[in-house]
Amino acid sequence: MLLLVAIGLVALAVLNLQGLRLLFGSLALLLVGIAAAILLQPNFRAIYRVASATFFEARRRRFMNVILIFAVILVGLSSFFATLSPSAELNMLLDIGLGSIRLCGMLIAVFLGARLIADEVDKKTVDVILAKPVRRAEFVIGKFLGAWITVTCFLLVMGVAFFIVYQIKAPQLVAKMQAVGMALSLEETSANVLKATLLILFEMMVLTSIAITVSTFASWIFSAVFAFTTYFAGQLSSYFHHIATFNDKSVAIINPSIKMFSWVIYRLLPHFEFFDIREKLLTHDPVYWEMIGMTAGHGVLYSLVLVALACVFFSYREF
Amino acid sequence: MAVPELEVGEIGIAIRTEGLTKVYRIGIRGTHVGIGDLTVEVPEGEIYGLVGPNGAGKTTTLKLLLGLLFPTSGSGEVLGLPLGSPDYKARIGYVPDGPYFYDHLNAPELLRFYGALFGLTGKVLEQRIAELLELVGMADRAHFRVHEYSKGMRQRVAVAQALLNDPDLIFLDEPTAGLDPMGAIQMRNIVLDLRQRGKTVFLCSHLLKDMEPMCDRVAIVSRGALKLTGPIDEVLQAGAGYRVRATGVSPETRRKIEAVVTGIVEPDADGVAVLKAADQKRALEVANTAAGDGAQVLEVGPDRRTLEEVFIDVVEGQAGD
Repeated sequence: MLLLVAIGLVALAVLNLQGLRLLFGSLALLLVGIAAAILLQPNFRAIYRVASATFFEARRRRFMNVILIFAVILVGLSSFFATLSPSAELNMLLDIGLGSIRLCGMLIAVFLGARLIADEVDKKTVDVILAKPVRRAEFVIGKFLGAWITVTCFLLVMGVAFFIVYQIKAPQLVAKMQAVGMALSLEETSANVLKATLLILFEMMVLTSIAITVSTFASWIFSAVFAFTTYFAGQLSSYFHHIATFNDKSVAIINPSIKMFSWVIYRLLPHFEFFDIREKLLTHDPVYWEMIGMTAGHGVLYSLVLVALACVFFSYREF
Repeated sequence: MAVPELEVGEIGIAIRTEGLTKVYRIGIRGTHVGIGDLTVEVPEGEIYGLVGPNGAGKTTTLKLLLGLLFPTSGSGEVLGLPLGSPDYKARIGYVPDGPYFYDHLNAPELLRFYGALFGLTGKVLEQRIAELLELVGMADRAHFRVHEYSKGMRQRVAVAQALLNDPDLIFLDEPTAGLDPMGAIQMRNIVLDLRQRGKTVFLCSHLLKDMEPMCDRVAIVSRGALKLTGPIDEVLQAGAGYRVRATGVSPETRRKIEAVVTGIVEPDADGVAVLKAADQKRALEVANTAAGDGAQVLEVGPDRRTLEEVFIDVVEGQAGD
């Protein structure tokens, strides 16, 4: 088991490389994943059944609906901040709207991901399922897919609500901004909102996979706290990179242990800050689809490696 | 990996264990032997009872066979395949002790989910669900959600889901627990019917009166150790001596055989008394004496204890393998 976990951690580190090394590393991981899928011959029917059962069970959880209602209200409230400057109002609309989607998405992803497998183990419903011809890995993958589809559905509802609010408020604001000479188009800003929401989907995929992975061997509370901590630490990945690579002794001398710790954190944790493009939206910078694609692809691969680790942990679990 | 095929006339072994041991870790340095050095064989087509007090290791053994726990040492096979292999799970059923299911589903939805895991779909699955709900007496309550079920209703649904795939081997953990008397009788009939159809049943229970009439073979475990195993008749007859069943046993006969018999069971409603002797020689002596005094001897044969009596002897350390 230790060897497999070590391989998983190396794979995560590879996904945090940059440039060509990242490209080749990602391709290599993809090929390994495809080869594993062909060799292990997973039962896709079983995975589908577990995923659909997970989806139908998850969407009925009360806390999910509460968070969803809260999110829709927040998104709606984002349109009520009238200021003197159209630019500031547009930025506030984007900031609060996308921030609400991200916040509520984070809550749903973490609590759902942390509880799905943990609840099955606590309630012993997993005993009956694993006595059927369902491999443990198929069960974990099904749970992850069911969780992510549930999170995606909730995010889409929030995203649609925000998009509607944006389409109501943004045209007048953009028009006022264009009148004072700002180079801005409604189509471009609307497209950027869609791109930002899309990135949130993949960000929550990574967060869900973290929560599920930890829940395969720990309690749901620990899993939730770990996922939250990882999320916030992942927002500071540039900071950790800066600490790890800082060599200017004339400015400061950093303890080698802290540098090593920062290096490990930077290498292993997902770089969540790349999924947050609000700053580009607020400064009206272009957001290219290539960047969206690479970030989303990174998120998918990272999640797959985590889910593979979850399968390894779960295969050693006793009930 | 397919289940091995048998030659014609060969009796298959549904379950085989060799030195199967599970040691639980408690805290940092403590250990507890869940089950130790268990070596048993369960022939196909039999009802095999694993009995023992609470904490004896019955559920541990069951979970080792199902691959839910991993052995500390030893080995085992189920339907010819190593423990934990997903391939034999397509041919087994499992009724857990105090079963839990998804609360928001009703019985047909639950069975539909489990059936799909076996690859059953469409009309075949729907027909199977209808048959099983009828069999377990849940057809008229199918629309209730699991969270509305009583313990007995959950147990019935548990049996239904265990039979979805028409398994060759069924594991039952405390199957009559929580059932009313009628439910317990129904459960017994289901188990006997399974054997009639050539299925193998592995039963775990501490309700000995329910187990005794059902089992072909029994193993008694206590404190994580196998104490006694064998065909039920042999287990119940071991050390029980002989008995003479007779009517018309006079007080004079009783006086004559007083020194020879180990016990006398008073006549029942039909006037049949049971005279117990330590061995066959003494039993024949008692029979001849009774017949000589005019009693009608109905039977002379091995005596038979109850499973409860054997269990108490074993657990208290008065009997061995």
